[in-house]
Amino acid sequence: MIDWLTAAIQILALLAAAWYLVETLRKRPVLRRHMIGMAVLEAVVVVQLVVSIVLLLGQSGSADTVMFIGYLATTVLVLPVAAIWGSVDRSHWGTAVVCGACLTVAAVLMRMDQIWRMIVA
Amino acid sequence: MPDPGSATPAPGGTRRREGPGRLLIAGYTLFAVAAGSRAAWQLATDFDAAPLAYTLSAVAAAVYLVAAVGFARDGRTSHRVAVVCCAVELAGVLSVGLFSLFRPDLFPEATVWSRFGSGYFFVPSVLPVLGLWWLFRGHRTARGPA
Repeated sequence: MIDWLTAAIQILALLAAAWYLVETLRKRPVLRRHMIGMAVLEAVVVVQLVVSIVLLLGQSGSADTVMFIGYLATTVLVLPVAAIWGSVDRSHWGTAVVCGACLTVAAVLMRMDQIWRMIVA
Repeated sequence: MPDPGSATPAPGGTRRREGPGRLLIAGYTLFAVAAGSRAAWQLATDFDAAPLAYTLSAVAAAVYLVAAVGFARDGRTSHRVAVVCCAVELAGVLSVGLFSLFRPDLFPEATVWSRFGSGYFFVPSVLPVLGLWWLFRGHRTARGPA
């Protein structure tokens, strides 16, 4: 994995989580601006997906690779699922779920980074 | 006579799905999937390395899933199911947490509950506490005056 890209996405995800937390505390449901925020984060997560696939092509497959791909799929899927949840749940708790999704992205990327080090080691 | 519609609290636990309950359902579902897929993978690939730890992870995942259903459904039985699941989790995360500190030989591989869930930012310790708080808070409001 490209360290600076991973770190940048994690920082972005944590900033987004902080914003959604503030919006939850202000009792805001998921609004258009929140959806745009999620779309931006999802876009960089997809960049990470493409980069990871390209990097994986140069590696021999192992049990760690399968786990890595599982986590990779999680990072890509968690935000769309949260977006659907937020558009159905029109209370501010929908925003809290989106906040949790952003934290999940940051945490899973950390775990992916650990596994990546095992793959290339 | 009030209409016993959706706004009326269900017996034995008021509208568990509402408000923070939704966040708990999301959290429990996420952990059921995360712990479950990890456990399934570990059991399938190297069961022999740590059978106890991996089986425990699978059990934890099942408890998370049942708890999520308990939170999501109305009724007294679902409330009891959710309470039991949260209690089992709390007992599990505390006992496995202690064992992983003092008898690490029993758990050579990490589980979702090892070291009080430190590998998962202690969320496994926090979830059952929040869950029980929410369940009993709902219970009190249901019985109290409207």
